[in-house]
Amino acid sequence: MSDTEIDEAEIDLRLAMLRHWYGDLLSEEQWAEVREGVREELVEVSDDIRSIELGYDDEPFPLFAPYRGED
Amino acid sequence: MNASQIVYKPVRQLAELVRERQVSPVELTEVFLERLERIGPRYNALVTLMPDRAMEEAERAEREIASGTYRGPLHGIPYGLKDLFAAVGAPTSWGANPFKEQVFDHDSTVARKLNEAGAVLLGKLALVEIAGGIRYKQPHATFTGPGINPWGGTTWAGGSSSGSGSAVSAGLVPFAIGTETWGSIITPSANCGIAGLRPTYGLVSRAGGMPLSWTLDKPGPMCQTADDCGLVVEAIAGPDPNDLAATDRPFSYSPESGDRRYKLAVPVGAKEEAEPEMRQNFEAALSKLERIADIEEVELPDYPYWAVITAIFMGESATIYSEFTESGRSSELTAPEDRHGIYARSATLATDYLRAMRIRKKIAREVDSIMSRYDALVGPGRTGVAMPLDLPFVKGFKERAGEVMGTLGNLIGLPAVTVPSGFSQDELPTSIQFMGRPYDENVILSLAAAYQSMTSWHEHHPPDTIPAP
Repeated sequence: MSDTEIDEAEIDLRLAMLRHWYGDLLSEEQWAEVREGVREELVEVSDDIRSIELGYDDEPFPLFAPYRGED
Repeated sequence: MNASQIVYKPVRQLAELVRERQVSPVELTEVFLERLERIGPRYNALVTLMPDRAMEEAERAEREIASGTYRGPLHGIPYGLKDLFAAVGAPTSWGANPFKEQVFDHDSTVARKLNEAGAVLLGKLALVEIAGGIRYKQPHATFTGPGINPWGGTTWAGGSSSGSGSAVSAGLVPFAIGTETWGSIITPSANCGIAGLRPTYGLVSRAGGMPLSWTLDKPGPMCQTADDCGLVVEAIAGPDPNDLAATDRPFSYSPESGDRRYKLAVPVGAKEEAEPEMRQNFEAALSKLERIADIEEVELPDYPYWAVITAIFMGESATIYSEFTESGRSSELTAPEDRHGIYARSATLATDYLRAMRIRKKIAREVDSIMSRYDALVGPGRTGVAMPLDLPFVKGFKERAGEVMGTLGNLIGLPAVTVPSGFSQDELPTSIQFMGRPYDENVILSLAAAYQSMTSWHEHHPPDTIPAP
């Protein structure tokens, strides 16, 4: 992980979206765990991968191929 | 032949006995069915025994061989299948309560190809729920109970292919099929003291298997020896119209003659992060390998491998399981942490996912450029030996998955094979792994086989499992 400070507001914003979608499915205790998941699995990860410089020509491996069924 | 003359023989030797008709497929099947049914529950290795399908396939193999039709080295050889692959004749539970009754009316491609090779499916083997893809923090994360390691009844077989590891280790099946998204073949193989091959991504079709992460999932063999892994992967490799990621590149197992000198590299950090006993046995293994290889250290490029693979894994698994997440059915999972662990990833940003995919390509190019100077990278199979069953993982998710070779290898789809390298003071297996460039299975399997020809660790078996003469 990079040395930058993790943005608590970003964690809370993403958590708010999750609570909006799934609020009644989990207990408060579980939401506290989800918040830790958002921190470790998403926001810290975002922070790390945004630290890598990419050029305009750095494309991902192709994910999509045009499909044409049998004629 | 009695069980003591059959159990623990490598597939290659069993195949010779079958081909020469010294043992029949039905005899073999009866021996291993009995062992899997009787001993499998001791290790929580078995989900479903499939005696009807097994005997049908064994009798077919016996008829064919008697009439002079020999399909090859897997003809008449029994095996077990990780219970995330569809196979007609049994439910496919994915190791998870919500999917326990799930039934498919077709075989997965792996099961179909093994059937075509004449192999005999004995049953479905246990795994960590959803192949460990939620957020489990301890070995009890499955409805079958924790995977118990035949080498130490209070230690974990490893995950997520727990039953495949323990069943091969205990001589309940001659070989098994596992899958690896991020450590799930190498870990249980290393913990259980067997050989495990994580093939190049796309070499083996994923069709009919539980999806966890489309660009990371890889089926592969778990066997007594590296040589056996070669025999099995040849049978299951190849193109498949049902899996767009399956490569058209042909693969045939052709072990190298062993008369050339190899060039190996140990990634900086791979040795240092290993626990003392693993490291000590790894250094002893390197001394042996120096007979056949020049070995040096290599610095891998400095990227946040863990973060990149996590962004990809979270993005893909979030969308695969979006309906499951919305349904609230994760509340039925066994591990308390898995009941909520699926939710956070729904907030993965598309831009993060794609950024990770762009970085992945840069890493793949740079690492391949380095690896092109060597036959393989070599390191400990895992950082440590099997952990105790009843303790939470000491390290967090990040550190646990942070092993250099495993994280990098899975991220960019490299093949790796692990074989045993000795034992700890507590008589738990230690391991070594060889990781190659894409599609270099023959190179790494030849290296592992050469190492096994210089050692006898693979000839040791858990004492409680050895049949009486």
